[in-house]
Amino acid sequence: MSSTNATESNHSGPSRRWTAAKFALPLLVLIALGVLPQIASLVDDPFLVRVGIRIMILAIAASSLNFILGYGGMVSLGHAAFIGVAAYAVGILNWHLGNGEPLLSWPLVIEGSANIWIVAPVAIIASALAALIIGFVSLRTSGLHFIMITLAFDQMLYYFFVSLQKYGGDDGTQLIEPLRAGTTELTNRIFIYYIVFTTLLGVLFLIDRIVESNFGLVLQGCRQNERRLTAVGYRTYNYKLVAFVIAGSIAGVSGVLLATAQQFVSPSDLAWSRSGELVIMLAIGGVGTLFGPVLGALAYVLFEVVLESWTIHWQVIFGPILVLFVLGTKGGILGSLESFGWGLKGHD
Amino acid sequence: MTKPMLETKSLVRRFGGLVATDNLDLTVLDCETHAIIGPNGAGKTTLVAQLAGELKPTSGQIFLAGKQITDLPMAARAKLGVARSFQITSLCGEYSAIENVALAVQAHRGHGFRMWGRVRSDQSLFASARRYLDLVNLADRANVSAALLAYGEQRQLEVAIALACEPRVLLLDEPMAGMGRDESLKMIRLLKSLKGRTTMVLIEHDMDAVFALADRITVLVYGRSIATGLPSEIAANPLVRSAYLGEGSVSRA
Repeated sequence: MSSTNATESNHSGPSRRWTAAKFALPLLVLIALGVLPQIASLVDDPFLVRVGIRIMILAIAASSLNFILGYGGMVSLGHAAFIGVAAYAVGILNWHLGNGEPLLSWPLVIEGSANIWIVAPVAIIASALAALIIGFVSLRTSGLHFIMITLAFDQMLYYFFVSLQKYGGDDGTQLIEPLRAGTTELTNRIFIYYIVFTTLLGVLFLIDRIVESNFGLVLQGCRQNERRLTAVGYRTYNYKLVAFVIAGSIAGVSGVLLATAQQFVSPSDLAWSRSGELVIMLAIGGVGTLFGPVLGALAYVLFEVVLESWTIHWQVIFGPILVLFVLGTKGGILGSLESFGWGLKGHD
Repeated sequence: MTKPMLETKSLVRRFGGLVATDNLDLTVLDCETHAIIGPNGAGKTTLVAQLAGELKPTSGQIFLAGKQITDLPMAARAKLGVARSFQITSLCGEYSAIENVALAVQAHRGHGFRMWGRVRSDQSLFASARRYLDLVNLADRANVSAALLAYGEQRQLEVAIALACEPRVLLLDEPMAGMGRDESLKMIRLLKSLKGRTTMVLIEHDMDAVFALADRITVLVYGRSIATGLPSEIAANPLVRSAYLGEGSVSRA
């Protein structure tokens, strides 16, 4: 076969064809999310906006987990740690501003802040650092050991924040000062909604670019056959660690948004059950696909909202549904559409 | 074909009480095809694993072109030019044949941390990968997932990946393992075409292949080298005959 342009652009097979069908469902969902606030005001149900924000924040968090789990094969059960670290960074800085007590008075004075341009970078860097440290240790293991060690780190951080009585311990802490972007107060729900929506689009774009890059080729190779990659000269540990830190940072972004949206942070934001929920979302939506985590978060929150209106023990119903769903579909929502010939899978 | 490319000095590897590599001095010359033969359990794969850097020797040294590489891990040796094909096929199954090769080319070029450009539009990377597929006659299967290739094609792909590492030494761990007659002949032709381009260490059970390809042969028994020499010398060596080849079975050499 000669190396014509036609064959060059086609060398990963039919799943990369830009068909309309491939983008139909994701596009539909994104458009629906884009106009949800208008629908909410039409039907006069502001609760819809809250639900939409929750779906999108979880979608960002699930996407970041999908980056290492779906593409990189690193099954982490401690991913909520990075959401929580960022959320707490926002909460703690806020507490110190609200109580007029510097966060640090020696060797230099660090005051609290509610300015999103300061708070968000600090929070995301905190998550990135946490990911660097946790990844540095955890990635020396793999498989079941990796699952357990990430879970253990998550629990450690959980109890660390529980033990911080100053910031509410078990109960967490309310954000006393409203967050600001410059002089604009971030209190308008609709405004927050569109910040989250834009961030989600940005995150999906970013992940898609990385996954399709040279780095992405190595990352997905790590999942398929790490030994092969080592044999051709990749130090796979370094690649996995970089991916882990990227994922932790993106989870940090969702943590900042979470704190902003709920005006409140608590240890439950990084409970291991939250980490588990993220994995469940991937299982529902389609692991290793760009849009699967969004569909998974959407389905998860809708289940939660609907079932919760019937009974507070909604998980009793959700559990069996989840089991049937995972047994009944291959590769989540996107995967099952794929097998119906919709060709929706984003990546190989 | 004079200076040594790969050497081991007093190489020992023990697994508990078992000595899998026993005080082995091996010299593989530049651009020669050096076959290592021996009965099952002679420690051939253990030797390859140590040469590739997957397994640490208990004692002794390994040199690549005079430079000691004993303590370098597998990825670092690959960068220096030690490439291997696995005895049991080891590929990225979801990737197409050409993507498997592109991964190796990319490793060699050191572009693995680029995060922005679309790798599949990297013409130069894929053009170079295609050349290696051409070398092993797999170019027309470039876009097929590695998992869907026929077994013989997967073995050819292994060789293409190893070649894409621009190897100074190519470690071929039973490239003919599990192949049918036709596939074996194809592989022998392929390796013959590569002879002289690079140094090859060939571990192989198939004596037809060994005698067709090897410039020199080392015979391992219980981890020890009992003879090294030209194919004709090995075939005539009485020690080798009794230990391995069996009396009267090597008339062709």
